[in-house]
Amino acid sequence: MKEKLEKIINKDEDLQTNLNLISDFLKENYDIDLYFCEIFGDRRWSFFAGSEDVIAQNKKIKINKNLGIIIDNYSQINKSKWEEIVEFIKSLI
Amino acid sequence: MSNIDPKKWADNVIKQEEIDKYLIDGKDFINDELIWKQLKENRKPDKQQIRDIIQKSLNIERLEPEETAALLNVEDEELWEEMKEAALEVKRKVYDNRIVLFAPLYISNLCVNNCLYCGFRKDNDEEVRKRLSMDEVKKEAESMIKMGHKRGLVVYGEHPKSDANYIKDTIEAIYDVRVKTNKSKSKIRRVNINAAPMEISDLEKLWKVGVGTYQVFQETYHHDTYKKLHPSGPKSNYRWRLYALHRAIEAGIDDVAIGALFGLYDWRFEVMGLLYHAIDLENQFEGIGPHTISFPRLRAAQNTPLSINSKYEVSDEDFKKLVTVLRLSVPYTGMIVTARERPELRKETMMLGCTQTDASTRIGIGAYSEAYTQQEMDRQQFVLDDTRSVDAVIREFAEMGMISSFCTAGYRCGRTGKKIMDLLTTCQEGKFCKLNAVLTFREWLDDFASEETKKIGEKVIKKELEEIEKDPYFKDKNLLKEFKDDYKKIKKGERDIYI
Repeated sequence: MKEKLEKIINKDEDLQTNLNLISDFLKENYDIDLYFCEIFGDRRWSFFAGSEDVIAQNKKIKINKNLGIIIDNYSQINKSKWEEIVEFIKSLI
Repeated sequence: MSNIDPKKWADNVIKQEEIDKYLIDGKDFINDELIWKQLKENRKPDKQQIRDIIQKSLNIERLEPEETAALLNVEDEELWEEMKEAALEVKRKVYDNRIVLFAPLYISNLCVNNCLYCGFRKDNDEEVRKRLSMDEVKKEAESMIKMGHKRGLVVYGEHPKSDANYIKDTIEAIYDVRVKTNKSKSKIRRVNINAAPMEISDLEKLWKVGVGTYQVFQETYHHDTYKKLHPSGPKSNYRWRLYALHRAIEAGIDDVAIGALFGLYDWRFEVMGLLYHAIDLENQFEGIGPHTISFPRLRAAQNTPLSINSKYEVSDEDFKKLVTVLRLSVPYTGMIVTARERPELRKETMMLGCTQTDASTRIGIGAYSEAYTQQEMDRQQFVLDDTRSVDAVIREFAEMGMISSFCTAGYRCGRTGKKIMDLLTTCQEGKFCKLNAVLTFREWLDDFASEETKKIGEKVIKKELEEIEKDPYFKDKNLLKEFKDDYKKIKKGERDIYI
């Protein structure tokens, strides 16, 4: 997963653009709908990047105290792949 | 906390460049003459025109000013009945049949302004002034939590001692409070605020600590009346206030709430002003309109003659009309009716499309933790007409077949701003409202309800569960199983689960 993600992002672009690229990639290849939220005060999650089509949160993953992911169809890939994705995103921040 | 001289502080509040940037051709979005012209030109609307406008509202489309003006001019009683029925239908489509409950928390009545209708005004020397310490704020929050509240609306006067830094600290203090309940621990999950207009850099401080909705009421949209009623202080600047929420959205706070104090000027004009406010926010911020609209009526305040002697006082009948027209004009917005109103009128306005209300309300500074039951004029901004307990208010709603909701989900999973606007206008948010209303009502019944309320509450839950089971939307979106699992967890004692 890490290698695939490395291919699609552009290190010259900002975080928001790269998160959008990751979201598009996961949708196209794994039919996963997700969006990224900025977290404020450890409680308010505010849309930052990703799919506009996510209806309900199936899973919420906190990447760090400032960024989280809301995922509609979490079970499309296994837990270890998600861990790789989270680690990869952490490396972008 | 600031020890600066209040006058010096007040003189430096306004940043002209943070007004000018939102003006169009140097003008603000309220054109008094145009509003009166629209009200005049649409004076005799025909039935079919009104029915077409009603249909537009039922399609969850925001109305244009000429359309709202036509609704405001309806005289035919039969048409008003149709409008009232449509208002409730709009509410059901957008928000289902839930009513969100909150508690206001007044924590400072120090003020540098002199609003002629307000008990907190600077020159009112009969008002007992107080600003709560952080320990006192926490005690207030604790008392609110013990009543079962999850959502607070914190109210501040405008003063250097209740500036943005103080507001930020109070928000954090309230979020930190935990109270043991019979199943788990409870807390305030969303802190909304009603505070004076601020500059963008101050608003960013509030955004960073996770403020919920930011309310600023224009009080009156009529320029000349505004000028007369606000003779001094930063609030005397009409445009600084008018663009307070524009600055908030720019600072990141994408849940903003507008309102007018009805009774200061002609009620039809104020409804038009609120509509224009919603339109300008939508136009300047990619469709983000007001999260809620409030329409408090002027109430008696200590040593404040104007509060009991206004020629624009709004009758109960006109109040119901303005609620109806607002519901139809801005179908996506939440609408708040408060404990200023008598219980029977609150009940009626719920059937006209209101979506939020307060309960167990105490508006004296420090009033929750002191647990006093009598209203004390000299430490309140005005007098309430409904001081019933949250249990009694919820029981009444349940008897009406409505479910009380303590949901704070949207704010905690990115459903705010543009995202929630899209969900509201496509009638999808109401689906989440329904699920989360049931989950939070289940919690409240188990943790806080009296036996009497629990009995009727169970009937409401049963009906809601049946409706959820039958609604194909929940199956199609794979929400039904998740909801059922969450409901079981809450019944077993888990808390704060949401969809």
